[in-house]
Amino acid sequence: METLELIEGTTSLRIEAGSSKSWLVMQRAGGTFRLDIAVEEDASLELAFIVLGDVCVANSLDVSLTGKGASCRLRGLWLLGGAADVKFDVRMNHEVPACTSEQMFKGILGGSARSNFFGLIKVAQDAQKTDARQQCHNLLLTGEARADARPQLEIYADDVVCTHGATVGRLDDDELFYMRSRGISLDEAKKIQLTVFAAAALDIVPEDVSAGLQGWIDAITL
Amino acid sequence: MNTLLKIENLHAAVGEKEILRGIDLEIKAGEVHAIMGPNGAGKSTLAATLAGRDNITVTEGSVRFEGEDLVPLSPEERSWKGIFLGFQYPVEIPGLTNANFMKAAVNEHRKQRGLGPISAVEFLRMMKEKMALVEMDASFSSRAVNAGFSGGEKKRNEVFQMAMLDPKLAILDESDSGLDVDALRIVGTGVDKLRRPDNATILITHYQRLLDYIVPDYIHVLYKGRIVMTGDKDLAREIEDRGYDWIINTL
Repeated sequence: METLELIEGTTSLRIEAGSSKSWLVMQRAGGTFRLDIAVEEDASLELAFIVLGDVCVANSLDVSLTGKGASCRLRGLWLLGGAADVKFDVRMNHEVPACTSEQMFKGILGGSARSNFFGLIKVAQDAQKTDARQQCHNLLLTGEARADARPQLEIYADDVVCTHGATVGRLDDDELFYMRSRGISLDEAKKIQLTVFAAAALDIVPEDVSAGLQGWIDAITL
Repeated sequence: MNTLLKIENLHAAVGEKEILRGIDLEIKAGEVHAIMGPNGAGKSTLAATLAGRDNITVTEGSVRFEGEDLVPLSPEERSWKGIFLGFQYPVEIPGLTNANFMKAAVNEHRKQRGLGPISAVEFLRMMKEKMALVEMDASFSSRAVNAGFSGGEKKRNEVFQMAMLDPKLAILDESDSGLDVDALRIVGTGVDKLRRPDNATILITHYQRLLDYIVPDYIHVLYKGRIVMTGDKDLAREIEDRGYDWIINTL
């Protein structure tokens, strides 16, 4: 996985037929970013966003699967505190048959942070055998934090598998009590719960990167 | 024998509703106490009160563990002191493996005793030994905590965790409910093997059948938040035959 430095404004990328790319975008500073990506025949793209801290970020992500057999895995994790404000606007366009896309976005929000996720999966009429999945889940750690998640499907083909799910929740008291009853302190139990929650958005990220996030998770817990 | 737990005139409420209404109970090291009673008597509330569930408020009376007031202590502090609750409905934690869960728990217990983290070798040896006690196969340690477990596996996992943490007082809340005969045998014999002169167990149950494996020293009948009768092991059989009405009707 390579690091991709985004510059403000629009970046256009093309994943050439048969090739594969794996990129990590780390965002610790604010800005407005737009990324247009075309994934060609039998090409594959892995793209993971990690947004950290007290930042104002707006990401627009437009992925078009333009060649048969193209695939895309998107990941996003935001660990936010303070007055952070993060927007994700994701459009996944299945233009041709037999492409797959899989998206997993997770947000953990403390302070008075906000996140706004909009995710559209659009399947064109002849994009049969599409397999498109999208999940966006958020955990709010304070009463002031706020997360919105709006998944949307626009499907014009009939032989497709499309799923999406979105949740906004809080730490699970039953899980916390269960862990504490085994002697795991409240702070540690919270950290474990957040780490486990974030893990599904980090499965394609190298281990040293996800291990490096532990400090952020610890900081956001306390 | 020394007293582990001493409950005096315990009143406790869930929200505004008083559930426990004056419980007295003394448990000494080496003893097994069974608590029986009809649904809604307060059995699970008593278990949760002892474990420190925060939606329960102790409104009157006292609970002492080895002479120390238990009421102000957090659930984790109670665990460190040697109290263990076997859950009636064990909680699923998807994404957290049984091994990592137990490693976190064991290491926190060690930290409280001034010890460093357990070595990988020692931890594996301990896991293997305790898994054998409840007949868990090798895949168990890498499965997520209770996620997708059958009813029997969940209850066996509770006994496994009890074995890992080696508590002074284990409170097992309906560890026998929803078990088939094999799982009941594994849970029953597992708990019985953990019985020692220096620890004690409270078994909350509806049925005689668990008590065939773990013979209690005392059986208490809880009704409307009070212990209304105490007897020996034969009381369970009588309840099994006659129900609770004959006890309730004498009140």
